[in-house]
Amino acid sequence: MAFDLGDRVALKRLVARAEDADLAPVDRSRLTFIHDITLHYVWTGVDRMTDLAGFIDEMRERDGSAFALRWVTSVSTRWFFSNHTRQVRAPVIAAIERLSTPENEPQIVSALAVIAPVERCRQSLAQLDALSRSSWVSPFNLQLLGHGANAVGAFPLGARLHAEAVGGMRERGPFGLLAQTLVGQATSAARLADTERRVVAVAEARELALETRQPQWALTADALSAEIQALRGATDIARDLAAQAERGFLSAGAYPMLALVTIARGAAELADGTSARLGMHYARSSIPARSAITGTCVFGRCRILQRRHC
Amino acid sequence: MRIWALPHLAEAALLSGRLPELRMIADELAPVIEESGSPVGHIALAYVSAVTASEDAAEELFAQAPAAVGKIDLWAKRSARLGRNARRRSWAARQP
Repeated sequence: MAFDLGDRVALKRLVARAEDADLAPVDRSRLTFIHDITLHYVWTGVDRMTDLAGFIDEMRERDGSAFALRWVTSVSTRWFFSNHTRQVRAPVIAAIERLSTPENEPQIVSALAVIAPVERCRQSLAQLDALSRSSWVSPFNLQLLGHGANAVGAFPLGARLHAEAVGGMRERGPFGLLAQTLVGQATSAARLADTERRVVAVAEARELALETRQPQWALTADALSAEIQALRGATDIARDLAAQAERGFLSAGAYPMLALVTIARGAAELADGTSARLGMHYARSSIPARSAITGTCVFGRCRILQRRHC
Repeated sequence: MRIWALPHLAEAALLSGRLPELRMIADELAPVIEESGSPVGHIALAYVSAVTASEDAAEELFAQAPAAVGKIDLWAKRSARLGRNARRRSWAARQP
């Protein structure tokens, strides 16, 4: 909650207190994750999340389904970008579906959309559509649903849900979450090539992410901004932003997030009409299969992967 | 996320003359898109079909692509426009 509110002081105090406690493995794992995404942005690797299914079951039995679901929601974004294999996803999906929550609970709808965007896409689309017509959904849950809609590739719906969530959060906060919501809105905009109105929005997302000390969201905003600028034809600005995002992601070890940088650079090449000269780098065979970059490193200037794998 | 990049990839393939590789990637993704029912996936596949089609068939496929997924949105319209332009540029570049 302190993170969502953007209250760094409270967050540090609470994390320090928890670190000194005698924690069960599941709680130590949660604390490590919270630490990684809040106080020091690092990406500890996808393998550290392969025990998620067991932890969900353990939390469900010990703390209840609502508590476990909140945790699933927290980790779902990183799970999505980590691009786990179908075999790794299966037990997590099963564990989520063992939670005792109503089918139209926004958090579980979002979690399944983000964690199982292939296996549960059709079901998620139907539920997202139904929930998008409901008047009782809070701004917090609208943000989650928008995130889910983006994950399953329903970007017009994602744009609308994010816009509604932003409207609700501007009045009351939480401002940390507002920054994330603005980034989600920029993600929808970039995919829809809705460039003109979103340049300002993504700049606000970045500013607010920095203000609430969420560097990972500021970097994501930079990567999205790079793509949006490329689509507008401002390719020099796009490349500068992409390089900036790349440096930050590399520093944090957030390699899966480089997929966004790659897309932005590809868009810049296309905008300049240089893709014919540069060709495409089908680097899939040399890249770890579970990286989200796997399918997106297809443009001419994927410098990082050339350096690391070629 | 692989699907996110497919439209840009299609344009790059068109401009660089790598349509067979594009078709191969699209064929690989098609079962995943079919299984999921991903809206953007269906739009992307329709777009790939259009840019890899013969000149004669392309215009009709571009026109059909958004309708094929039951929804015309900004992205699809823009992609179709870019695709047509790219095809024209590519065709013009090949002329003596």
